[in-house]
Amino acid sequence: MRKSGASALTVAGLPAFLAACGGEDKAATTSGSSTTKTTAAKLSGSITVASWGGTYNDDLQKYFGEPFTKKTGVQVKFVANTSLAGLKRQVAAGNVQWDVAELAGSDYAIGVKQNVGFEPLDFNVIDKANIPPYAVGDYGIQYAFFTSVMSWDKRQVKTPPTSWAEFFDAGKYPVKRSLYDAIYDSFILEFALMADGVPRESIYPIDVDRALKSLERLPADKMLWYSTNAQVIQQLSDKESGLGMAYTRRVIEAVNGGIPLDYTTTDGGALGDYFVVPKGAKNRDAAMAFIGFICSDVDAAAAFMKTSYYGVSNLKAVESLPADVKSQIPTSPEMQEKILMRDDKWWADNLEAVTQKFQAWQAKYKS
Amino acid sequence: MLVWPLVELLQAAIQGGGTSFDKLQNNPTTGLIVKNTLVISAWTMLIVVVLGYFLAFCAWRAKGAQRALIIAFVLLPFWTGVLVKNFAWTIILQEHGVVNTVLKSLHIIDDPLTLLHNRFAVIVGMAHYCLPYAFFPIFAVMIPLDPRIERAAESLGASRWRLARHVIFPLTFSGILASALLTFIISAGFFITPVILGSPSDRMIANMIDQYQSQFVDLNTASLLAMLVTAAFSVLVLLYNRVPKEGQYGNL
Repeated sequence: MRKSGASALTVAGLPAFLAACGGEDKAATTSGSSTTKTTAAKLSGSITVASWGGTYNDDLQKYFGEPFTKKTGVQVKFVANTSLAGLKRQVAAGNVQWDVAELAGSDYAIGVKQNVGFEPLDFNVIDKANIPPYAVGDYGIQYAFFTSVMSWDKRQVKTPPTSWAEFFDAGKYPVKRSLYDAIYDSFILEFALMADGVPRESIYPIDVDRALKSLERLPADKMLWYSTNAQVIQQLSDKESGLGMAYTRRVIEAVNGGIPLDYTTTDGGALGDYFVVPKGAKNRDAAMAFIGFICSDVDAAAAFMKTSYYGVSNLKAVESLPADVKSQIPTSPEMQEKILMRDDKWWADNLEAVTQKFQAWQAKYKS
Repeated sequence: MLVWPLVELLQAAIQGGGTSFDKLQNNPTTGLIVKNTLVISAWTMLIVVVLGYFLAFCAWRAKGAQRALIIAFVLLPFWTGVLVKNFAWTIILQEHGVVNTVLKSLHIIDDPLTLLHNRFAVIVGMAHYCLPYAFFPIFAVMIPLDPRIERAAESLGASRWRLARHVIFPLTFSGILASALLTFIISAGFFITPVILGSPSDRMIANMIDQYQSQFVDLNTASLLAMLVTAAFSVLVLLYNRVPKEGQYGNL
């Protein structure tokens, strides 16, 4: 049993190794050619893009996958359940299934720190003219941005909160608050600091003790912790809670579905996913071209944002949006004025210690 | 197929070695999570064994269609996905859910009870999942029992209590042991139920392993933790294998 397992690994590893060698060869010739057109002509086959799944993947397929296939002939297959851990395992095993992976910002920073194996971006293929400097990494483009905001059930909350101080004010609203438990993906500490009067520019480095103390302005029985993004909408619509921190898309979908919820982007927080190419990706060239495509193609990015209200860092596409959509997009100039951008580097450096401290606090602070 | 992943896991665990061990030791939540796992699993085990024994006894006494009906109801959750079962419980237990609505309309309570996102809900959800695993080992040892032993015991002057205590119980004890061990082992590995039905202070060991691998991307520490759990439960599995089989225990 053990033997067959080992040989299977070797067999699986071999093509990846060959592909990696071939990839380097091609990269050398590509960097020699100056026009992107000749690069496009060489692309073939298909790529697999790992992302989050569900309607999000459907949107990615429709707005980025299909136009890219039309332009280059490369088929794009989107799969769910992207993760840094999965990428790390694939690279370590020499059997890389993904050509492109979408990774949460702090995961990208952890991946760089741990040197899990990202392919350096080929900026001969990827034109970063439309991308702001903060979104350009050596191994990934921080591309898709999501906004976490305060939201409420209009049936229970007649005068909505205008700041996190009001949101956390137990006296002002007797309702429960839905709070996002998954600290690696949430702004709970940042918002607690804002409630305590810390200005947006001074949130990082996070004073964890102060943030936890600030959270205690809510009694424990007014806190409803949720751990998946669908839960908060369910809690608000079932009147389990009256106020909640939520990602905008979820609230918009609920409102479109007839549930009387609302939100404000004031003092929201935005985090952004990186698009990376794992080392040993089977179709590295097409993967780079795909990232290049989403960074430069204005129509595709604009259509994606109009549907999803997610932001992308293709600023030229953001510029092209109608005003009402643009005002919701976290990467737009007007939103940048009033939201907090997550410091992924700080989170990557502190995630483990802060998560444990937070969870120990949670276990102690209960009703 | 079964051994190779374990070997890889062991390899990663050894790679992490002392560092990983220190990490687990210094994690302020480790003690709490181990305690949660043991306490929640023990409660689940206790509830399903008692409930399973009762149902198995009813099924054993019942005839034909009645017996089939009891077994069907026990089996029903067996064929339903764990996510479906857990989310069904959120609907039943939430503040404006079925239980609170009924109790309120009967004027038994004024304010809704907090039934969801606490340990109670986790145990309910896990017990629902584990019940068939408790029922069948017990039912399996009951089936071969000759119903005439009841009459035999009575004819020898045994009271109902003596009959249960000295005849039925010893004859089915191996089934109880088997179902207790099985449900405890299953319970201790629960992952999604504490997330959906519990509060942050009900995290269990599988959640901690997941956190190390998916959030901290520290596969070595995750592997070490998984290996420690595997080792601990191997002891239980060995015990399970030593559970006396029919006829080895409680001979009349």
